[in-house]
Amino acid sequence: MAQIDPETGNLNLQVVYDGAPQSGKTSSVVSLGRILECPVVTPGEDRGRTVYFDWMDYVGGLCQGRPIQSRVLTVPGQEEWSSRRRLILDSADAVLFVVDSTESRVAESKRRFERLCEDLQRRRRDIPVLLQLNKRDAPDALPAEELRARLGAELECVESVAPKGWGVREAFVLLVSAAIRALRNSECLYSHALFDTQEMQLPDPEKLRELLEHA
Amino acid sequence: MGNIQSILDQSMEIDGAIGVALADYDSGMCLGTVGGRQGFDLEVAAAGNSEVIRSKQKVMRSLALDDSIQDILITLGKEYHLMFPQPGSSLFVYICLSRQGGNLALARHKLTELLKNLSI
Repeated sequence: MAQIDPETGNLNLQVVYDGAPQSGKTSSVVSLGRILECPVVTPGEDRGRTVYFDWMDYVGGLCQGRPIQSRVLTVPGQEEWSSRRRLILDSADAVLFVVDSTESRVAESKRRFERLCEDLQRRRRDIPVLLQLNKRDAPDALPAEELRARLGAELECVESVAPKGWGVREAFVLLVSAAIRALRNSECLYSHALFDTQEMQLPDPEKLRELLEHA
Repeated sequence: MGNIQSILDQSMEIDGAIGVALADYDSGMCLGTVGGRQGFDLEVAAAGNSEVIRSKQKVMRSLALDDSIQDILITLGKEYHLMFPQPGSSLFVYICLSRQGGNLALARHKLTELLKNLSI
């Protein structure tokens, strides 16, 4: 949740990358880290699959004169870690849903997208959700409009090829922008809620990993 | 796929261009930059100038002006700093032009044309 760090004065935001397994969540964040020259922390990877999360911090941009510190998190895509996924989603200010554009993966992406909508609705989280249509260089990639129609998601979207870094920065910036707009619209930015020091201590990667271990 | 790099590269071909950034004025974050010079961080400049655009929009709302910003020009002793918001989005092109080598009218014309073709 958005908070203001009392020490730095930064506006802290958490943006979360969700999506079906192997849709390119980690690949997107790793590419983004390379472009923005920020290290990405991935605790407990298991044979290339995310078990906990990927974590990246980036300070850039301004909101009401405050530097924005964006905490980028991915969720584990595999079904067995869905409780970890939900815990991470609970802290999100905006969600980027990464979609594998290939024909054979559309059904899985649709199922996962519906689950994301259900999870957000159940928790009454009215936060922005954007689409990142990934793997656009695949020979059987569906046209963007058809993909969105089949997902049933008429949302703002960015096309990408994550390993090459195409589209990942654009998706990230639009996601943070949507989170800031949502904060402004809720007038949260002008309220005391953001200054509540009790809620400001966001965990570091190790504390978050410990928290998720029991989830 | 988007054409941001191509738009930035073409913007840098404008006479007198020192540096160009495509940024988002809601967050102040850059989607891409080209050029610049020593001691002039385009990312910081774009972030700061996004506040200029938002301030102007706020004033326009206060005055109930039913209009939009076409561009914002800041004239320095040696440079022009131009901001071009893309209609219908929160994106803008920020360009720094040398007053000696730049032509303001031509730069405005070219940027308007380039922005029409911007896709993400």
